Amino acid sequence: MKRLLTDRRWLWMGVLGGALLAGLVVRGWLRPQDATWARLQGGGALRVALDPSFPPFESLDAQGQVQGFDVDLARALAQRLGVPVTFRAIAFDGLVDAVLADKADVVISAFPLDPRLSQDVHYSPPYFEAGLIWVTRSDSGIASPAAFAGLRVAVEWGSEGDAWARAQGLTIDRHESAGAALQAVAVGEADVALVDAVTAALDAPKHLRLHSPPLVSEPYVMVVSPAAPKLAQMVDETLLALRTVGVWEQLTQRYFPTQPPRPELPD
Amino acid sequence: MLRHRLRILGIHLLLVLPALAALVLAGWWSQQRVQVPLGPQRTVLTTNRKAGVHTRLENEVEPWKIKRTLEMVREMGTPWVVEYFPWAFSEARRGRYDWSHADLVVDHANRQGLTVIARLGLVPAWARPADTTSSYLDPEHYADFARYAAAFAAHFQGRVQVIILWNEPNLSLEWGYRRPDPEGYVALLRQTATAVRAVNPQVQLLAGALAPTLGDATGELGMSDLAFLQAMYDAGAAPYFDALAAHSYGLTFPPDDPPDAEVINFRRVELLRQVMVANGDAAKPVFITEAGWNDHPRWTRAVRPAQRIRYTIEAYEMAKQWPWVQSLSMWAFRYPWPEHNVRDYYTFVTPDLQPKPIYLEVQRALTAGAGP
Repeated sequence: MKRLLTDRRWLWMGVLGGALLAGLVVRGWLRPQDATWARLQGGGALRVALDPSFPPFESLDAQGQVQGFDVDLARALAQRLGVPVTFRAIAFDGLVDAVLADKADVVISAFPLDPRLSQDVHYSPPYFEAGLIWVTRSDSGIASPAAFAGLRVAVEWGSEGDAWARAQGLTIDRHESAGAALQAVAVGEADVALVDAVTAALDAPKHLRLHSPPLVSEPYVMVVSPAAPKLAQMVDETLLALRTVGVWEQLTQRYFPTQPPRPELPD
Repeated sequence: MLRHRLRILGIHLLLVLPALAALVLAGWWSQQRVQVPLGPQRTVLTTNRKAGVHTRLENEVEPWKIKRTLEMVREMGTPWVVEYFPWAFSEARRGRYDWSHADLVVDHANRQGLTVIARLGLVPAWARPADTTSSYLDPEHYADFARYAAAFAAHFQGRVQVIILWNEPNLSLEWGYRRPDPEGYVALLRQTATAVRAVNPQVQLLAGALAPTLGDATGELGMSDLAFLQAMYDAGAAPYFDALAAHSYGLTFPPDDPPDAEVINFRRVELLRQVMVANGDAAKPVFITEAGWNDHPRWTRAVRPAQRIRYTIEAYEMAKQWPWVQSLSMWAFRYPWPEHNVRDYYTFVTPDLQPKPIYLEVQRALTAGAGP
């Protein structure tokens, strides 16, 4: 009798184990396929959504064609993936909805990472750091933000740099534009400028130095629908590969007179 | 046998009662934790008694943040506050009112010395067909909205003196994605004003809150605010509102840019005023319940942060000089969380209640040398 009970226990354990295994197999079969990736593999084009109103990342040329850093990056990405690319102009507020509604495959549009949406979409690793940075003359010797106290800090009046400097209780030299704040440092009227990295890379005179890490980070990322996990994986891998082979440097040199800070990659 | 059962019951009670007591204690403690004292009665120190802001506290769940937000409004020197009181929040089930959150906002605002302008709208699901948006209201449910507005006016008698009925009905998206309908809006206004005045004759009813828009060619998406207001008068709206609510955004233009029917700018509100005067309503004031400039770095209708500061301060000063303007409330003081879009760049304070430079500059302009 005891032997029979032991045998039955083994039998039930075997049945349960088998059911669990079968469930896992069926789940694997039923897992939704990445239709987007399948379409690309079948010769379909990578549909890139962008709002062409933010040069030098994306804008329209005289012929109405999209141009800019993001456009070239998208072309490099598509080339690496071995697929053609098309661009869809969509207002900035509608970009995420465009990929979620399958109107586009990926957003490449100077899109700042929004942590609130991280459950809803897939974000690529950052490809540009657009946050608040500090800029000095190359020969300034200012080693870190800890040394800002007592210095003349130039900011654009009302900007995030202004807010940051006020919060730190710094001596603020306010200007009408970020470009004017940079110029104040260039001519020695201020010691350090606090400006966004895009403006700094565009407008900083050559003898100024852009420092990283940023005081406030604002990474630009690509956005892919969670319904396209294979595409998301390929976008991530390809973006990192492009960085390794020097495409990031080529693009920044093409569009920015001064090299912007490299975006920090997540661990 | 009975003794055994009683013993079992006793053991169960011994186990269950402490758990129940713990639950009751936890509930009591959580109530104690979230209560924030109103504090002493405060007064707004300002050089401009017409200055105000539109807060967005309807989604703020933390009482201390509601209080701190309204303290910061007072400290900025703005005695008026426009706040949204969604119908769907206060009457989620037909006929059952829950004013707890609205009470919290109004009581804290009043204690800070602020005058509340209550904006009513947002249709609950039970008052509209399925697959419609929260701005959709059929004529057969106008009476429901009127009953809600009257209940609001009665509940807040003596605490809220000004009520805005609906928002931007000249836009399709604010009219349930239907063609804007001035006659329909006036029918809603008539029923609602009648119901509200029956329970609270002192309250000041604001109509319109029209979106500054040129309208589209078909009239499907939006109707010019000027044409909509005239159509309201044509439909007999005049007896059913005490003042006009107006929205007056500056976009990329400075505040003194001259008014033009084909341009959206801050002084467009003067054209609305002309429509009122032309229709014999010159005695009624205008409350500007939304206005402002945006300093988003990439929006084509934004200005630089320095311009936004300057234009905002100048606009407050202009409103002070306009005898027909009762108050000017800038959009929008703060959101409970970052929107991560252009809307964040209208605010004065961050979601974590840090003042932006524009807050500090407006505060300096409105409170320097101020008395109560």
